[in-house]
Amino acid sequence: MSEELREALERWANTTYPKAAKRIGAPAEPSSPPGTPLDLGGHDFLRDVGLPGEYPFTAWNYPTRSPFEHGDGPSLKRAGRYSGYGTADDSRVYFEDMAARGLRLGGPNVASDLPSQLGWDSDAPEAAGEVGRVGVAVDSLRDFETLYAPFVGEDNIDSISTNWTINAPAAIYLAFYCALADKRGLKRSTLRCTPQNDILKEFIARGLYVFPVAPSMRLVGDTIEWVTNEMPRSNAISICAEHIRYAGGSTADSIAFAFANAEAYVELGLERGLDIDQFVQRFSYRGFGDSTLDFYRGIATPRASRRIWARIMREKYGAKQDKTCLLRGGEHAWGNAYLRMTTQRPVNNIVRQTLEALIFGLASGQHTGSIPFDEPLGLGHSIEAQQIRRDLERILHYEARITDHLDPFAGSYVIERLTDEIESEIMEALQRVRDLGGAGEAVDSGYYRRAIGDTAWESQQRLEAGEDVWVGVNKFTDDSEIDVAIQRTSEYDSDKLQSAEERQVANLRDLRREREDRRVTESLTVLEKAARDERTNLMPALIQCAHSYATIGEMCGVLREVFGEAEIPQS
Amino acid sequence: MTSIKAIVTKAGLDAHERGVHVVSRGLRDAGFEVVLLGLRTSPQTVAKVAVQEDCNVVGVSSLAGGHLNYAKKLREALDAEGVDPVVVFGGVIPDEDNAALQALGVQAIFQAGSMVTDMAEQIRELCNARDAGVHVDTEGTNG
Repeated sequence: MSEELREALERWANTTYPKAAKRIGAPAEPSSPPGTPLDLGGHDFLRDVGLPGEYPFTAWNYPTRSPFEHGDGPSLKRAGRYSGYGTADDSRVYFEDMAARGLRLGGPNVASDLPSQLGWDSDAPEAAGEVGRVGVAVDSLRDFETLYAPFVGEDNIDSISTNWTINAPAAIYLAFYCALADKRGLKRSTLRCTPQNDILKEFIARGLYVFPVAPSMRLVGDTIEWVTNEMPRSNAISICAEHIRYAGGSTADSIAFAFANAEAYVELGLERGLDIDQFVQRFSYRGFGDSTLDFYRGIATPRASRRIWARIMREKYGAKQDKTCLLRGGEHAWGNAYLRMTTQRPVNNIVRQTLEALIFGLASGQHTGSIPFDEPLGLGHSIEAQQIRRDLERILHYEARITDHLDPFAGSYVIERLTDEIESEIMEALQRVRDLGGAGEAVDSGYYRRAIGDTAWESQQRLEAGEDVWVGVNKFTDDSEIDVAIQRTSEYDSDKLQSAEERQVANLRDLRREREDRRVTESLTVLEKAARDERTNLMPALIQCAHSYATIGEMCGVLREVFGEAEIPQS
Repeated sequence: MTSIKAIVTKAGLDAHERGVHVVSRGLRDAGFEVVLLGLRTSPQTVAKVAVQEDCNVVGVSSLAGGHLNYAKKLREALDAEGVDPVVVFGGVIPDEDNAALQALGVQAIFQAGSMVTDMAEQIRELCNARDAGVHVDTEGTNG
């Protein structure tokens, strides 16, 4: 058949297409050849795609979709939408208000302010002007007590799942949560939390690193070991590709770099003698999609990513259990609209978020997931944007019925060809990092940063030249276009935001007065001693510090003293 | 003015670097001399570099809501050093804050999606006007 098909394709390309193209003035060459069984090459369905929930998980991680929760928003069993602002108390009130409005956010997915993410207290000079701005300020265990105050009774922290976008001080947040559980009389083993903890990505894409690479990796290693042994329901780390994409990496590079980083974290666990089929199952992953609105590549990319990771785990690391081979976690195609959201004619972003939700729903077994349309207009999402987002999920589920099928494009000649092509692109990019000596080397040598900078610049040049059309930004911008307005009501109380720093600093000063200085000093001494001995896991010392109400700045101060600080590249 | 010297920096602790990298390359392409400062550079350091390098323009990128606070501190630092380069901002800056930024002497605000070629042209005009002692109205900033 293939000989016959080849001839047919040739005839189509030489006669059928050009004749029609000429008649209607279409381009002389087709934008892509028509999909045919030839695209599948040596493809073997069971080996290369498989059934949903079966190795190599190309189709999807699980045999079923996650249940649609009637569009009321996520349950508290799953960490919900990224939120948090002001003081811990402002965020507590926010969580309660949202619940009262019927907006279920899911378990707290906590956004932290920049000083907290950099391990500085709210009263540190470096923090001035930034406290509580892009997320909630967290200085001590007291802030965790406040933040989680609404989560009691049947929503107690042994029943909910929570996430923190925290990297350099991830171990400290983990310690706060353990200490909170201790104080509530709950076993740490019942907790379900996910610190982001992906420090290599901070060095290359997100910029919120504190310590040099080696001690930063020790902290990650300590948390992996701790979570594996003490908190079997928690995730040690959330390894992220999308941030690398946002920083300017190409799709292939961003995913390859994230896999190279993931391999470095796997090595950390192996160095500590942990069982691959145990600790890797507590890794989670996010944003291994195309991260653009390119529809077909958007669907093909997470399929390729899932297959690559499954094979790396089995073939390179010898994982025995299929579960170890899962690119588990949320947001497989999340954030596809992120780089395309505009401040120009922002209502168009509703179309973009719809496409994102479609890609997300078709490329994974998760539900939609889309960024509220007013994301680029400033910080925080309006109540109206959140309503649109909720309805969008409902419409896709009930009216468009996109959730009726899992991996609906399995076997599509075009999608399978793209999946194979993207897989090869990612593997080539990954091999380049491996050849350099892995992720650590790629950070230290500046390879990652150069590659990301180059692709960011290339993509900007395509925009400037108009080769890449962005509606309302570099084309269709003249006076005949109409801007459409939607009323927006802020989800955050802006007066509170203005006064957050003052109030948080006042709270922190109260704390410093009220706590027992002796316990603080003692615990910080224990921490220093532990930090100086590489073989000591830092988690017990950090938990002791948390209990004494030592602050994040004090703990990071000790670690800065022992570990030194990361050098910040100039230019 | 033949060659314009620009300092490109991030506001405060914000670490979204894509913009500063792309803009620096674009401005260099457009013939500017660019000093790109690393993350977490204080406004005082920016002002000192502005003096040392005798720069014409300071471009600040802010995507994390710290723009007003940073603009104020930068203004104080520049005043303390006795220099008055053109100051422009870019990134995620809500329209409501434009007036406050202008009051702090910010002469142009470039939203995400701005083309670097347009930015270069506008900055060149602002610098030439500053050089000639002319005040350029900020109307027409890419908001």
